[in-house]
Amino acid sequence: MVTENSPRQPGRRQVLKGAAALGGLAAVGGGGALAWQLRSGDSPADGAAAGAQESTLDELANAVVSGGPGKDGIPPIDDPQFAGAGDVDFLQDDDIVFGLVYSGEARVYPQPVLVWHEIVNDTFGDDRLAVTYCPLTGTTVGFTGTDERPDMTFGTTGNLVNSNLLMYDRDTDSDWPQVLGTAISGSLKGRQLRTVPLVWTTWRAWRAEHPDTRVLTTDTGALRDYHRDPYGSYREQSGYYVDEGTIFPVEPTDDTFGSKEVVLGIRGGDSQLAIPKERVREEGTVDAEVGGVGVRAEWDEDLETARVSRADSGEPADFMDAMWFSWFSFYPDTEVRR
Amino acid sequence: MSSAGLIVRALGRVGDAVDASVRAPAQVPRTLRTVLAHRAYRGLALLVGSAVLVLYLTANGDLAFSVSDRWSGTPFAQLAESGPFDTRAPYLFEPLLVLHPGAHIAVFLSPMNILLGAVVAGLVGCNIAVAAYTAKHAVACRRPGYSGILAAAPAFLLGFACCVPTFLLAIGSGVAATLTPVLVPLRPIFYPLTLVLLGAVLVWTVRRSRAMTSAM
Repeated sequence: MVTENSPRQPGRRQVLKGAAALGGLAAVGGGGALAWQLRSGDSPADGAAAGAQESTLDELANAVVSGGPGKDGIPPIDDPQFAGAGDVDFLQDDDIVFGLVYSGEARVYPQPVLVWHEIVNDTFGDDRLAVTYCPLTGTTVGFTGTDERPDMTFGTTGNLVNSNLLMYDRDTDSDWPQVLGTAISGSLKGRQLRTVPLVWTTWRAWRAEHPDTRVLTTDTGALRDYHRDPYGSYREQSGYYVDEGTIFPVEPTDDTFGSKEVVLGIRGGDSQLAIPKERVREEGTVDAEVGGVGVRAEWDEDLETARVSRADSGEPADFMDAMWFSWFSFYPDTEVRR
Repeated sequence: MSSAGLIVRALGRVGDAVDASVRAPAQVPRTLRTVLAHRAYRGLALLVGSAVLVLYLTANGDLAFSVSDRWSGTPFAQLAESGPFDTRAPYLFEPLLVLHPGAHIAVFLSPMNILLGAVVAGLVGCNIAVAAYTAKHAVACRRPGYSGILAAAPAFLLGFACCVPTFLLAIGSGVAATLTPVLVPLRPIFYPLTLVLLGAVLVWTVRRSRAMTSAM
């Protein structure tokens, strides 16, 4: 019997409605959690090698994380437009540029442009050459495909591994970390790209050395504020480029040098060597051996940068400027010249 | 009362809440018409909405300002080769056109970015207008009324899904490395979650407004 003080009993319809609502919420919540699990996969710390063991290709593939943009959300430049040194007005003297002399032609790729595109699929005559730059690891290197596929072009996956640009090739959709230059997934997994080193210098120094240089322009097909660097400033030494931390997880790490200290990362056979760029500046010349091959790192006063060549032939060695953290994360067994 | 009885009563209350939730959104259009019929609240909604839209477009880089005259000598307009639906990131589209009205400003025009920003801006503007209207009537009824305005604040911050990296850089890379594994995978849902939260706050504010005005 219901009295004045008895609580009102809910109708059957309301009870069923409440049960259905709670059941629906549980299903959505459970589905969301499952989707999150499937999407996230292993955490970078779980997937990457522990301690100082070198990561395998599979471990690196498991350590891939989203950088935010979608595939080609950072659009590569596929139809690069060049101008003469006297015809560009968007560069300042101390802007960073990446220079290259290939097939007798000098070209320069400004960092203010590449920071927004990361890949330029260029050609020199009949030769394909992809110029790449990763702002987060401070690495720039050119690729001329593999021995079997010299005409490869690349896009950006929007993903990162150890904070490094993860490219994909448009032939097979295999994934290639820029620093490693070796495919970590896809049908070309394990294959290695042929590398062409670029010169990291300033606009003033490069055009003085190569007055006939062609300059990559801001006519890229995309609209960007090329006067702004979203990560910081090399000119003013500010932001991400000088901060000790990284935005994305990196494993393994090492504190032999500051995380953003620039090293010359040199590869020879299965061996690697890192020489602080500042050391080469101070000493002028540093001789070393990598994988049984003698190399010489020399400071170029005119270009205000360091270059590494093979001692036997004088040809450029396989090297790149890199932030220490990124070089160590891919080559934890690297030798170091302190 | 037995445990079974408590469960039944709880489920019944959930059912009542479901009914109220379904009925509540239907009240929003009429309340909005009432509120926005007043010029003062309409102006407030437009002002707040415009500010949010400018903030949204500035945060994602579509509006750029410079103290130095870094765009002097740049053509007034430049066209892109991309299409209106080409994306750069979740809920961030490529601009089709950039305008340089002066040496200190650049406007990157993406119809989709403007549309997405306008939706968030519209919801925030409506939230603020209804909250202000409710607050004024709450003062008349001597009841607390400004919580609706505060409720909208955290919700619209989530709308900056496109700006996560900028946000992370601003707070410092050390902290960012901790937050990134959580925030970046959530980017695809930030924007729709913002719309849901702003919509929910609007419905809630409208219900409070109607409750207060009917109590007067």
